[in-house]
Order: sequence, then C-alpha cells, then structure tokens
Amino acid sequence: MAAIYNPRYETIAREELQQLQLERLQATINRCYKNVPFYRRRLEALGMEPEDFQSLDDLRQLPFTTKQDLRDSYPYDLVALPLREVVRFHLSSGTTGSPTVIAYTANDLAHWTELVARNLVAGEITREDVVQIFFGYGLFSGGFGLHQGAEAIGASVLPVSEAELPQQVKIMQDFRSTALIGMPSYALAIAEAMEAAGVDANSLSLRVGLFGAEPWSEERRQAIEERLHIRAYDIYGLSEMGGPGVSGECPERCGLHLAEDHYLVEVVDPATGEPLPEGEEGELVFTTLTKEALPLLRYRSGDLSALDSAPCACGRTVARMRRVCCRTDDMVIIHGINVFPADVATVLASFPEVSEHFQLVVEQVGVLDELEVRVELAPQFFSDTIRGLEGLEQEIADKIRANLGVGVAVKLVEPKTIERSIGKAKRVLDLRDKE
Amino acid sequence: MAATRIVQQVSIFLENKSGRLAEVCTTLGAHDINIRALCIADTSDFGILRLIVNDPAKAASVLQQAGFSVGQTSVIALQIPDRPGGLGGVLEKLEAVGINVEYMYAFFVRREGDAVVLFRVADDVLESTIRLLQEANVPILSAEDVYAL
Amino acid sequence: MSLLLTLSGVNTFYDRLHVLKGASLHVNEGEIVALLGANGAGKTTTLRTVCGLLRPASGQVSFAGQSIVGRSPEALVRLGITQVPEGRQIFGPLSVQDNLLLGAYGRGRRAQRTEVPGDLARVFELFPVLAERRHERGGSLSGGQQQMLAMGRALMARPRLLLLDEPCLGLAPLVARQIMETIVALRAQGTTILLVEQNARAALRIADRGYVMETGKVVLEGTSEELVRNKDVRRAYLGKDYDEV
Repeated sequence: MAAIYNPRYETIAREELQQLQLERLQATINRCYKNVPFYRRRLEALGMEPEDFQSLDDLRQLPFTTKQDLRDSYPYDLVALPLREVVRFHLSSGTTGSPTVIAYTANDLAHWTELVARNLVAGEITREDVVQIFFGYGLFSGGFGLHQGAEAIGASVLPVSEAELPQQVKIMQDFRSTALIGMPSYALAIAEAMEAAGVDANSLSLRVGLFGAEPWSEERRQAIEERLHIRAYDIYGLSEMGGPGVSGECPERCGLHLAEDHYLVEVVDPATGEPLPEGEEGELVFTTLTKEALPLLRYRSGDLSALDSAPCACGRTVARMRRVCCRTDDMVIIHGINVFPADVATVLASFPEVSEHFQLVVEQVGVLDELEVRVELAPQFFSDTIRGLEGLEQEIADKIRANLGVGVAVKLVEPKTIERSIGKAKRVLDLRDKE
Repeated sequence: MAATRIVQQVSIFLENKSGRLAEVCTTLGAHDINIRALCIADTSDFGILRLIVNDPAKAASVLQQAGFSVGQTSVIALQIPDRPGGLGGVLEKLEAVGINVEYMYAFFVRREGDAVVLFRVADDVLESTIRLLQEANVPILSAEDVYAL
Repeated sequence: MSLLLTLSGVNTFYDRLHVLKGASLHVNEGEIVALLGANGAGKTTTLRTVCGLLRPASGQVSFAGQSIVGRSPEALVRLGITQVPEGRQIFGPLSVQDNLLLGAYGRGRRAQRTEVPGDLARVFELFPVLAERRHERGGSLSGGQQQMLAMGRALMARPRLLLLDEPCLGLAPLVARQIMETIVALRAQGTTILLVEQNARAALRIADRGYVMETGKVVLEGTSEELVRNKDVRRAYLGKDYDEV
C-alpha cells in the first residue's frame, strides 16, 4: 500500500468519521454562535439556537455563507477571536477593493500543515525529495501552505516562489530538484523555458509534481508529464478554507481525497441550493470542523464537482471529489489571480469613454491563459486618433492591473456588438479546451 | 471669418470586421448623404473612418442611431496647386512654426484644377494655423464650399 | 483504534432543566479522554447519563457497538461501565478490604471464587497504601486514600470503561499527582477512561483527547496538545493571565 501520512484519519472507518464530524460540527456551531457576530446575528434572525443542530443532516437548516458575506464582513465580523490572538493572516488573491481575510491560530496552522503534508505524501513526496515550490509566497496562502507541509515531511525545500523562468530552470539543474509544486500553467512555462534553453528533461532529476490553484485539463496534465518527465498530481484548496490542503490526488488518481475530518463537504444544486445525491455534479459547499480563528458554515465555493465515498484502492476511506473544471459563477483564474467580472465592471465604470457592456474572453496563448477584456466604446465618446484609442485601451488595462493585480489585454469594440442577455449577463467567454 | 474655415469631419469607430465599411456607406446613402472624401486609419483590431460629407450633423446622428460610435472633428480644407512641391510648401510653413499635422488626406474632386487636401491639427492651434495659412496666401476653403463640393 | 463509547445528540433534563443540549462525544478503546468545563457545564450529568443514573430524553448512547439508553446502572456495570462518583462515597464503617470486595458484588458466583481474589491482589499492588490498611475502617483513611479506595472498588468490577468524576477534588497536589499517575497506569493495563476534572492542567497532562463543555454543549474538541494551545482554554481553564496568553 502506498504511503499515507495520517492513517488514523485517512483510513478511518466511516462510522467513526461521522461521529467525529458530528462532534466537531456541533462544537463549531456552538463556538460560532458564541464568538462570531455574523453567525450569531444570522441564527438569531432565524430564531435558531446552536442546540437545534443535533445531527449532521441538521446542518442543512443553515443558510449558505457566500463570498459576498466574506467581503461584507471585512475585516472582523467573521473572525472568532480578537485579531491580536491570530498568529497568521493571509489575504485572498485578486481585488484590492474588497479583499477577504483568512486568519489562523496556532492550532489552525498546525492543522493546515498536517493537511498539506497528507496531500504531499499522497502525491508521492517523501523526505528524500528536493521540492521546488513556485507558488507565490506572500499574502497568497499557496506558497506558505505547501512550504509548511513539505518541511513537516522532512523534504528539502526550495522556496523559489515566482522567480523568473531562467532562474527556475537553473535551480532545477543546480539543486537537482525532484519535485515541482506550483500552478500548472507556470509549470508549462518552465517546461517551455527549459526547452528553449536546450535543457533535456532527462538530464534533470525531476520525478513528480503537485499542481493546483487553477483548473487544469487532463490534456494539460499530459503535456506537463510529457515535457517535464514527471507524474503530475492535482491538489485543491480554497483560501477561505485556509488554502491548500483541502484535497489531493493519490497515486490511483481517480479523484482528490478530501480531509473529511476537518471539512464537512456537501454537493448542492447551484440553482436551488438543494443537496444532491452522491455522484451527481453540483457546487461544493464546505463547513470547517476544526478552525478556530475563522470558522465557516456552509460556504459556497463556486466550484463544481461530484463526490465518491467508496474506499479507494490506495487504502484511504475519505471521500474523493472529481477534479474541478468549472465554476458556478463567472470567476476566472488568470496567472493565479481570481478575477470576478464584477470587479472588472467597477474599473470600466470609471471610464466614461466606454459603455457598461463588456465581455471577458479567456484564451490559451502558448502555455498560459490570457484574459482579454472586450468593452464597447460609448456611442458618443471616442478619440479621433488611433493613438488616443490605443491609449484608452492601455489606460484601462493599467487600471485593471492596479486594482485587480492581473495583466489583461483590452479591446475596444463597436457599440451593440456584445451580446446582451436577460438576467445575469454571460460575462465570460471561455475559449480554452475543457476536459 | 475663421469660423467657417473649420470643416466638420465625421469620424467613425469600426472594428476590423468585413462589411462594416460597406454598412456605413449604405446607411449614409439611405439618408441621401454624400461622401465627399474619406480616409481610414487602422490597427489590427480596429480602424477610424474619417469622412467629409455634405451634411455632417445629419450624418453623425444617422450613424449613431444605426449603432455606430461617432464623433465630429474639426479639420481644415486647403487648396493645393497640383504640381510637385505644392504640398511640401504648405507643410514647410507649418513645420517652421512648430505646428504638427496629425494627419491629412485628399478629396476625390478638384477645385479649379487644384487638389483639395484636408488637414488635421490639434484643436488648440486650429485658429493660429488658419491665420498663418491666410497670411501665406494659401487658399482655405470655407465649410459650405467643402460640403458642396 | 475502535469506538468504545459514543454519545450523539444527547439531551438530558433534570426535571425541566435542560442540562445536556445535544451533547456528542466519543471515547476510543484504550484512551484517556478528559471532560473540561466550569461548574454546571454538564460534565457530571454526562457521566451520570453514561452510567445509567440518568436517562437521556433524546439522542444516542452506545457502548461497544450497542445502544445502552434505558439500561440500569447495574446492567451497565455488568457490561463494563463503572463510575467513581465525585466525593468518593466509600462505606465508612466497612473495612478497606470489604469496600473493595463490594465492588465485585455484581460479578457471578464463579468469578467470586476464581477471579476476585486475583483482582483484589492487583488492586493492592496498584495502591500499596490500601494493602497496608486493608483491615482498617474506610472512614479512617485520609482523603487521598479514600479516593484510591473508591477507584480500587470500581476496578474490582473489571470495567472496560472507567468514569472518574473529579478524582483530585480536595486533594493535596502531591496526592493528586499520585492519583493521576495511577490513572495512567490503568490505561497501560487496558482500561479506557473518561475523566471529569476541574484541574484542567493536570487532566490535559495525562489525557489523549479532551472535550470542553459550556452550558450543556461541547464547544471544543481536540487532542490535549491542541487544547493546551487553544487560547480560550488557556485563559479559562489553565489559569493563564490575559497578559501571559
């Protein structure tokens, strides 16, 4: 049987798991009611008390927590303790306009580290490995999360973060890295840089890689495996749940094993919110079971997936989730940044020269995904010179970069050329391969 | 009277898709608007179509209603002798005093055997450009003349 | 590791007073689990619900895979659950030895002949001071010795699960430490222990896991390391100053 970091909980009997989940859920709801103003208000408004939750099914009586709730509660309303007792903060990537805070206590950090360690071991990483981590280190939780987990296993860690591509290749060679960890699109960019520099993948010591923080197709996985000569594993997390460590693939690679002793996972119909039977695709909804600083109840992730709780050939009994390929909303991830159409709309609104009708077009350009913002020129407003119009495009792109932290291309289009839709506008046109 | 020396050019934003230009012409034609001169400046993504028509205000309104992004820009129409150096001479005079010509283009038809060329300079030097050219005895057409060409 | 005891959504009332509000917890075989909380939090009520002295109004209690709701305390002793109640409650007029033998009362006649003498010897081995005083009146023992006697008596029932309610209450620190060491020795021998103890520091030192209760509900669950690291626990139960924490 392949290595398992924490067999006690990764191969737990499901009956025992459910008892544990019930205890932790009740404790979490009790603490939320006591310590988190947002949740106490919500329960009181519904005339509910914590003792109304006496079984796992009772959780469904609670309304969902959404991204907007997190934004609205910035900074303290969802944090369960005084900020001075928090030992670490991370911020969700993306908007400077309304960031979401993620806070950790010492126990939260210890749990987080352990969960990442589980994913790493499931992804064949051992203490003998030289691990090159090119997730960003900083307010983004990815770099630190993987780093902590890798150190806990005893691997040799190279915190290269987002170093330039030639340096990534050089480090791979000089340090004989055996494992790569980062975003899949960046892995391909490294592969490209490597090939351009005439470096043969066979001359390297690469063995395995763990990639995540953005959706990636099976096709992309194959490309990574072929060009880098590694086995590529998918890891999944979301900053609201603390970052990486929520789930990860094992060598069987038929789904990502969830840390069910720390997260209660539901799959619901994105339109109605009703729970779906196991195996059906729907929106992943997470409830934290052990988080102290920022417990979240029924958080809608926006990610679409399906669950399978049958035991896996690897020996793990915790449920697996299907690889996430799509979202319920229009959020796209570009260069690791979460881009919400609403935030682009805010930037565009500050330019009278353009109308409010726009579209985000996502395309794969080379190995990376690029975003083009197509926006209609206002009927009465424009410049008579090419320079003026191109200047406008550049100005808009600069402001989007300044506010959202992501580089995009801006294309002005004629009025009335972008499809109007009744109700929710279909803001995103995804031209990438879906698999 | 410098005011009528300023000609209103109609500028239209067009994406680089086939048929857009034809649609402009058809729309104008349907409203009895004649195109007197035109020029297109383009990039790979979009272009700016500049037109001199017989009724710029009506053209702008009609095109806007048809869903185009339209504006009006002030240009000057000069009568240039049709011989080598004719245009050069005018440009030299402007350059000598630091007036930048952003773009220019010619009319289809001639006037008294001479070419008619439209010049675009920045709005803030429009008046001084007109004065300079008048002092140099370069014939400037009036707006009405231009529309009626 | 297997589940020995589970409580799921247990509600217990004293008359109309709702004391346990949907409490859930579990104890695995071979563990020491601590129940922490202020007075009135529901800890003793939990123990009394488990050993059958109180019947839950709703919820599940299972022991070794079977539901035990509604079973009498004597039946539960025979199944393997024994409680050492708060305040010891030994029989003062009886000798130490007789107190101990009483603990084996529920076991069958054959056991009385074949197993009980051996068990008695083992209790005396665990608590030498009881051996020295085996014929003295129980009431003449010191507080610490009476606690040992109460525990020894409970052990005579050969429990699989031992419920201890405030074993260190009113005892000098040195004696309390001895009691705690004994509890650890019991675990080593295979006894599973659910421990209610006001002295949270001492309890967490020997427990594998713990639950913190407040007003009849569990608010925190974790390993003893996790509980010790938790700021609220440190402040409320480990006596750390606000400045220190």
